[in-house]
Amino acid sequence: MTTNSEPSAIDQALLAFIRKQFLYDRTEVELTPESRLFQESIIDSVGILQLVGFVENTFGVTLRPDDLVLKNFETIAAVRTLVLNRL
Amino acid sequence: MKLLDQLLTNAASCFPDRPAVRFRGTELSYLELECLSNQVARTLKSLGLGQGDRVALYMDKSAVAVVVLYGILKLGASYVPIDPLAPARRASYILDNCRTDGLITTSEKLKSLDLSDNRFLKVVLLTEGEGEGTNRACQVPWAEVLRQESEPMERPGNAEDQAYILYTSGSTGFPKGVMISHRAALSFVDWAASEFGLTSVDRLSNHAPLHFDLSIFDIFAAASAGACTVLVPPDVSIFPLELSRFMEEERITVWYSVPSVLTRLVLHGQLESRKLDALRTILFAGEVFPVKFLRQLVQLLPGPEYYNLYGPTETNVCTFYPVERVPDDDSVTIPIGKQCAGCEVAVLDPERRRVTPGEEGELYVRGATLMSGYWGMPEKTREVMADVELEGKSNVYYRTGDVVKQLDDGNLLFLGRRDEMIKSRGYRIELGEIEAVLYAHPAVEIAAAVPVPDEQFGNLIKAVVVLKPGAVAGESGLKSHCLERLPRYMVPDVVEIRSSLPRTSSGKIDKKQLISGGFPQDQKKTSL
Repeated sequence: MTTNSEPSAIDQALLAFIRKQFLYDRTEVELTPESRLFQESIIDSVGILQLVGFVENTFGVTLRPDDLVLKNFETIAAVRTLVLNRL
Repeated sequence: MKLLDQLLTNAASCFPDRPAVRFRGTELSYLELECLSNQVARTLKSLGLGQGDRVALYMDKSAVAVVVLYGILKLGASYVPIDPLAPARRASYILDNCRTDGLITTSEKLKSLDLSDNRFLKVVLLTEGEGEGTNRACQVPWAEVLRQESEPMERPGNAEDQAYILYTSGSTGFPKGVMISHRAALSFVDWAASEFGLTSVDRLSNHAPLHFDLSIFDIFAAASAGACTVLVPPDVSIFPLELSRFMEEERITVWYSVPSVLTRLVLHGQLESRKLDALRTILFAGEVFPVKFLRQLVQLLPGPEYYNLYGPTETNVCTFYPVERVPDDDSVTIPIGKQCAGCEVAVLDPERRRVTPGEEGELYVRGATLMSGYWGMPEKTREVMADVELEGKSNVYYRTGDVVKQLDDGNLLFLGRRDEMIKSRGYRIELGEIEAVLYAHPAVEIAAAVPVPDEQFGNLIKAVVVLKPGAVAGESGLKSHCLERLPRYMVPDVVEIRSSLPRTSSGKIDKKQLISGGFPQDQKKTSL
């Protein structure tokens, strides 16, 4: 368990990463933990690789093959739940 | 059949109630698709657009996108699909470069575009949302479409007119538009529908985005047989497990995608747990399919027939290879096969003479499926559409830049590129375009982009830069600079900053050495 595993800290880290990595030129998009990452075209098939890498490296978790489904990555809140389940 | 959109009109009369397009569980029948696209054509015409105009499509994949695409064709205009995920700057460039007369998009996407300098756009049709007065073009909401009559419109028709213009990566730093006529597209579509025996009970996947030429088969070959095109939602295509479930639930019969998608299905899609008995044909194209993964795929799914299709956007598919048996040796490459679709191929040496079978040469293609040229680039077109005299007869051939050799059984084997074009995740990328973007950064003195071979993705991209004396820039700053100008698949996976670059004895940047350096150790591979 790392020191940054409080829900709000996880959210903050994910929000910051996604803003910097995917929304640098789309300042009009309001990103919240409930934003639909794929339906709003924030993340695509190349981006998901970066997100999975970020999650595994930053939070020190190893995701299982079954974890890599839409419902675990649909929103930042969903990713947070996944991270907490795997810590 | 002389025009692409006649495939739809014909299907609507033969199979009015059969499903034409499915997306996220909703469906349009052929009659519905015909009527709606007639309404789009009438709307565009009432706004002053017509034959020979170019109308861009800047929107996510959906049933409406397919309606709109047919609507543009029925007007006698060409459609110009723009990657909906491309940076707004690139989309604005294409609209300007292609001098598109019309744009079909959503109000949200429209807001992101910079059209202040665009002098060509006359009409913007919004499929979602209301317009705002952000530019000079006339903005029309979708409600206008629904008010039109749904009867077919009298339309001018010429098989030599451009049906669509697909923008691909260009080595000089700007994408170039490949113009494909109705005749060229239909030559391919007719061949494919007949070769793969499509019928009205088939359900074709559409995995590729609309700006990628694999989508031509998915949409138009389906229409020519009255079959159904099932659009793969982009979020589903991201996760191999979701994708394999989609194939099962939608009972896909004919699958077509780049090999790297199939590789990810093999590795992470748990195909063994899916019931895919409807699947009868798997087609792949766009890059080399590593034999190792093809063999695993065939073991997991022994039922379907497998075909390797080959052809740059400029030629459509021009050779194909039915995979009868996968070689046992992982180092062997599957051939790209023999000429098809009314094309003729030739393997030539640098003096444009035929090489003897078994020798390496560049692949040249001639035939009905060839592009008309690059939009607004007559010189670039002349460079690749070459007059070649063979056996005393002179003809125009497209030079592919692909190095191949002919095997004893007549099949062609792809060996590599003559230039610096690479494939990554099935996308075609000119390294020069990435370098040109890096050079545009104020801190960059020298830039080199190289491919780093990767089993799953074909290639990943590494950029190495030397900064100007005294200049400061970091990897993340250089990456965001690229992200603002290039589609995401072209952004280097790694940017290394060095004090100098290795040189060959002739003084050129030694790219081989940069490639062999691979990625830094801390570049962790993810499990997706």
